[in-house]
Amino acid sequence: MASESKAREPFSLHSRLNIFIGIIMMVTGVILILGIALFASRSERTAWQSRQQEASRIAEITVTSFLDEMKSNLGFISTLGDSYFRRNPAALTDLLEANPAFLEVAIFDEAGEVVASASPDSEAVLTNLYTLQLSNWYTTARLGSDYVGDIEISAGDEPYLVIALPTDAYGVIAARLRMDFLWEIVADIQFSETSKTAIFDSSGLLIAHPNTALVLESTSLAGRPEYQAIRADDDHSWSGAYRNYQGTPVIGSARGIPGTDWIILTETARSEAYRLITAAVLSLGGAVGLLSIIASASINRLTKNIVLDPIDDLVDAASIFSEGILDYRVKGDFPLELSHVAEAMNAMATQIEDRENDLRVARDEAQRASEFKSILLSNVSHDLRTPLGGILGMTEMLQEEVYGPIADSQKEPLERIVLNARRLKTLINSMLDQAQIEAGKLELENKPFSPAAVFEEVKEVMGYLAESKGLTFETTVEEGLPDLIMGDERRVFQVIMNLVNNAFKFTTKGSVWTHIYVDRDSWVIVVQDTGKGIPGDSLEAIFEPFRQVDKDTAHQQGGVGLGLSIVHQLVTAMGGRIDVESEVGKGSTFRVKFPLNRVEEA
Amino acid sequence: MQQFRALIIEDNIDQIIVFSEAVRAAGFAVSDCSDGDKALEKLRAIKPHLVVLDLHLPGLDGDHILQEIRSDSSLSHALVIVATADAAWAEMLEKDSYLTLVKPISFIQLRGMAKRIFSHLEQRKTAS
Repeated sequence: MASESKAREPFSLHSRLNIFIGIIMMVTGVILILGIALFASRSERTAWQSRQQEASRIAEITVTSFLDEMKSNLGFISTLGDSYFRRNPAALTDLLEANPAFLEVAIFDEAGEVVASASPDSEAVLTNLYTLQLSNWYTTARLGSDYVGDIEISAGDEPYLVIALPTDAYGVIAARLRMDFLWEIVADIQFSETSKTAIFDSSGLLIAHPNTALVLESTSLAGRPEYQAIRADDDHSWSGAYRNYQGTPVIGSARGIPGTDWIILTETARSEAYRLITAAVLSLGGAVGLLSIIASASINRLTKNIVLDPIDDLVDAASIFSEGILDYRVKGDFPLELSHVAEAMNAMATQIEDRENDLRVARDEAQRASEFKSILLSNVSHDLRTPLGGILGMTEMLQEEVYGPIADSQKEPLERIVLNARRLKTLINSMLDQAQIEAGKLELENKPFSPAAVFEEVKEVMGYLAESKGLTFETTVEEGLPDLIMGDERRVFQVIMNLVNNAFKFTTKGSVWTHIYVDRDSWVIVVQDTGKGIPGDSLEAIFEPFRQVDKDTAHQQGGVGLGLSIVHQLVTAMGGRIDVESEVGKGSTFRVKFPLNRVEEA
Repeated sequence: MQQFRALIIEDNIDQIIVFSEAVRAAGFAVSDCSDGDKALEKLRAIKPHLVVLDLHLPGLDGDHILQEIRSDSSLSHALVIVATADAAWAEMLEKDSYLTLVKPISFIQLRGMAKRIFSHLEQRKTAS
């Protein structure tokens, strides 16, 4: 778990802010651009549609007025009357020359006879009397309606269309109109760079187109979807976007030309129509992008200056504090919130510094007190020894009758003086030991010595105590104990003496038994008594200095409670351990276990 | 006339009494000195066989007196019992002294030791 979390670096505030700002900028930019593009395209489309409708209307007007002009020209010719042309057959040819849009003009009377005809640049077509009665233009005009025909293309002749009008004399005047004229007009209807205008009839057949070749090939729009859509509308007034026959995406607008079954269609390439929008969107996008970058950078810089740099300062300060340099103080211009943090950190450092100083003072004081205690103990015990030597020596001299014979009745008090002097000596030694141990001045020897001899010495010294208290004192040295082992003889003696002394102190009847044996890598001293025992809840405390289970006993026995504490500390210092089992009223058993360091054979 | 001489170098009058009596009881002819500075002079005048030496002394301290005894060929044969209240100091001088005793010193114990030393000296004298 720990390694996993360690492997994943925590995301820095900086990158988080950057990503956050970046996303906001991007989203804002996209929304802005989309909105503007949508609005612009919508208004552009509306504008283009109306522009196109206008254009197609103008185209319609242009075409219509052209046709009307042609019709009125024909009408004017017919008003001259049949008789005029019968009188002046050449007049029609002159009129035709003044009117280059006409290829051929023919005037028929009520009976269908040719009154006059002229076709100076081409073969006469209209005056073919065999086909006359079958011609649409003739029958339509004969019945009193204007006729505008479809485009006619014949070999060796120019493309043309037929216009026919009824005359006042119930005859018909017809003309073949050169298509070039209409085409030029249509080609001229150009309201933008890519705009094109085309005219086709109700069957879809192209009548006029800027590309005349298409017309000459009799191209039909009948299969085109825009044609279907236009046809579906009643008055052929339609606007839409589509791909034209060339595959170019365009927007188109169509309307019918009244008086004909023609439909006029204007187209503009969508690329042109949307050029403005595209340019607008591109430049806007660029602007927004640039703005985002500038905004991001400035927000980034701002957050760095306002938030991240101060945080870095705080982090630096925290690591300086953690290095223990507590007199350092966080300084600088922080925003309000962070200045609170800085103040809190400074206050914390001050507090820690104060506490550390207090602790240092307390520690020094404790150290001084401890040193003072050790020196005091050492000096006191030292200074007690000299007068004690006088007391002990003098009393012994009295006992030894150096100053003359003593009465029997004086022997016991002298004995008691000596006993008390010896007890005082033991106490002084204990205090000095304790002082040395506490001052860390305990030095241990490591020399070969005989544990059995130490035991014998204890027995010798303590034998008189057992006798005087009427107790049995047994010592057992088991076989297997080496003659010599390594260690500090004096300290081992002290440990055993203290334990035995302690056992005698608290035993009023029965026995004290000491026992020494080897247990694998250790040698063990057991001191067992039939004394009053130690209550279970006091067992742990007995090895602490100046602790006694029973204050009365302590008073009675004259101890200060250092014996077991010194034993414990000496045993521990010599790498051993001590434990105790006890039952109140039955006695105690102390067991000391020392590591067995055999004397190496040279 | 007593054949072996002992010098007690000690500043405490009670101790001088106890030590002198114990050593005298063992058979030595005893002198004493309570000043470190005068001790060397006295040592050279008496040339004792046994010296009971305290370490805390006015003037020259026992440590230096012991070094002086060890380095002076006319004195180096003397057996020195160091008697002090300072066990640690006594331990340091163990190799230069015959015996070190930590105060309080038992009259009986010191008398016993002095007797042993006396008979040892007698044996040595007889042998030579």
